[in-house]
Amino acid sequence: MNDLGQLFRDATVGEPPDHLDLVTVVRVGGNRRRRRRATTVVAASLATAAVVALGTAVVARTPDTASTPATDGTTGPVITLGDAVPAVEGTDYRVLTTRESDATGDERFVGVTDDGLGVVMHAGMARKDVTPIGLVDPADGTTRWLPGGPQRIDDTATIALGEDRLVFQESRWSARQPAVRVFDRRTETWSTISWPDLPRAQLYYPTVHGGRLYLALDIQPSNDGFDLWSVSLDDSADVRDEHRPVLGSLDVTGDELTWTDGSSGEAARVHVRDLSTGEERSVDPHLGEGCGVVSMVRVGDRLLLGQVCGGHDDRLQVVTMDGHPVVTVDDAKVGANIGDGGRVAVVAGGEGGPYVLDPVTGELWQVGSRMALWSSPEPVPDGSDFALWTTTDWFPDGGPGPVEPGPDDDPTYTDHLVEWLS
Amino acid sequence: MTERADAAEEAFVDFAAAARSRLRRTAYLLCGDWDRASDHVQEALIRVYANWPRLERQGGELAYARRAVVSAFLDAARRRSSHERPVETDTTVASGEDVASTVTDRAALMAALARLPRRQRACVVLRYFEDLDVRETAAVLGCREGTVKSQTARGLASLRDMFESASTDELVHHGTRRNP
Repeated sequence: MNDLGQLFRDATVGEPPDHLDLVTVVRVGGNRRRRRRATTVVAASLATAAVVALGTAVVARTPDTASTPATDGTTGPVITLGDAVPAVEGTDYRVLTTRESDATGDERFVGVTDDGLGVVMHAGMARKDVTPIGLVDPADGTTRWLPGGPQRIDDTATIALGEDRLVFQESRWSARQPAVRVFDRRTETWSTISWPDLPRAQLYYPTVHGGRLYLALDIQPSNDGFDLWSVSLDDSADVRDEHRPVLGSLDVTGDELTWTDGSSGEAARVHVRDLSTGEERSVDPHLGEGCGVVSMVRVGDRLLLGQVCGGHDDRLQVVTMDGHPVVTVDDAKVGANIGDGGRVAVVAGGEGGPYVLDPVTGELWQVGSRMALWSSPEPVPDGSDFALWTTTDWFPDGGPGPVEPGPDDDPTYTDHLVEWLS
Repeated sequence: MTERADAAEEAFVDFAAAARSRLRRTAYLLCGDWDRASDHVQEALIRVYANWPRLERQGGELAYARRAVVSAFLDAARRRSSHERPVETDTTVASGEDVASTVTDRAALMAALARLPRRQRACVVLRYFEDLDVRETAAVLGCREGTVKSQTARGLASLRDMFESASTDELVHHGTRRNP
């Protein structure tokens, strides 16, 4: 017995006979295949009818767009935050480092780079429209402030934190003058880029992949959705209409661009484009009746869809990229905003939070006993063990959760950079 | 049924007959129960057959089946609403050989596996029983390669700690509950 593989093989010796019935497998599997084919036809007909009925300039899907609805229409297991189990520090997670901030400033985390460094802004100075940016080594907690001094960037709009460059919205980012501030990590220099040929429109969901910034533009405000465009981060003349409607949210994970095409009350579908081949497919996530997607994050082969149902009831639905239901967290306190990246997601805050969900196993943890904020999730590397959350000692009188502090309040916030272990 | 459909079904049955035993052993290491392992394999093969035309065209039938087994195991565990408590872990990377040198009892091994978090258990089984590399394991679990590395390291460290800090009798006692 000289290795673990041999131990495993020995442990499975003497396998008792199984009772697997291949006839049943073929019958049930065949039924699922036929049901899926039928659902595809119905869905395609409905989608076509919807496009015609809207009478908008929605661009038709390419002919190779495949439709892959779920094999059944259930939500999978439905849980609430009350089903969460307590997380144990040191076993389920480890706090790598923290940052404190109060009314006078100090530091706060705005994300984690792809190579695992925390990114901090000076919270106090950010309110003055300029802020220094620093990189935090989680190994020793030290901050190295980047050269170039305070930058004029939006303190709530981190776009991409790559190994080669850091991309932030410029503080004057607007429909009339969209621009991003870029820090080149090799040369350690800052630059600004904007795109004169980009249509003047409100911009949403900026996300970076392969040197391009993808944006949803509200070119036709009377319509329910946006149009997908992309621009180069290196060439201000490189502006591209991607000819795709986007109604909910978009996300880039690996080589795939994922976006939703439904709005509140509509049966949204999720579309996926392989950015290297251009091939597209779509998934029916089987939203609840009257539920609209307000946020979407992709983690590996899982889709996390934050939804508002009936105007006030929030829920988070997790499905595979084949549309199979994984788990639904149905709770008014679950967040419509979901942290970007990470193999686990912070899905709710409030008293006793944060709550952390593993979208692969469906496990839900309650991390703390303090008040936690979750409404401004910051990016961490896709699929990594990192998580970020904020706790506060401030409890507003009579309120169920944190609200904006008044002028006489002096709350202290603690940002936690965490490695998730379980 | 057309001749073409007959041929496809025959090809699937041949595949299922050849793969079922190995898939069941993988499922057993994940769930610790032969009957439940059979259920996971049956569900996995149903998913394979539902996608058989595409798999025949594109290949990768065994990889898809393996992924379906792990998915069926995780789905079943979720439905049971169980949550296993791992022991205190040491993130020091341990090799499979380190663990093997301390384990000589099959029941103790299965008990220790049962105490690992499900994701760590899947990583260890896929790496050391299915002999998948990090990239292949990440594809099965739908996660990053770095996650596979860290989860495997933690799983191995936990196994090593369990066998170093607890008696075999204790591990077997803890392992009497069924895995999800």
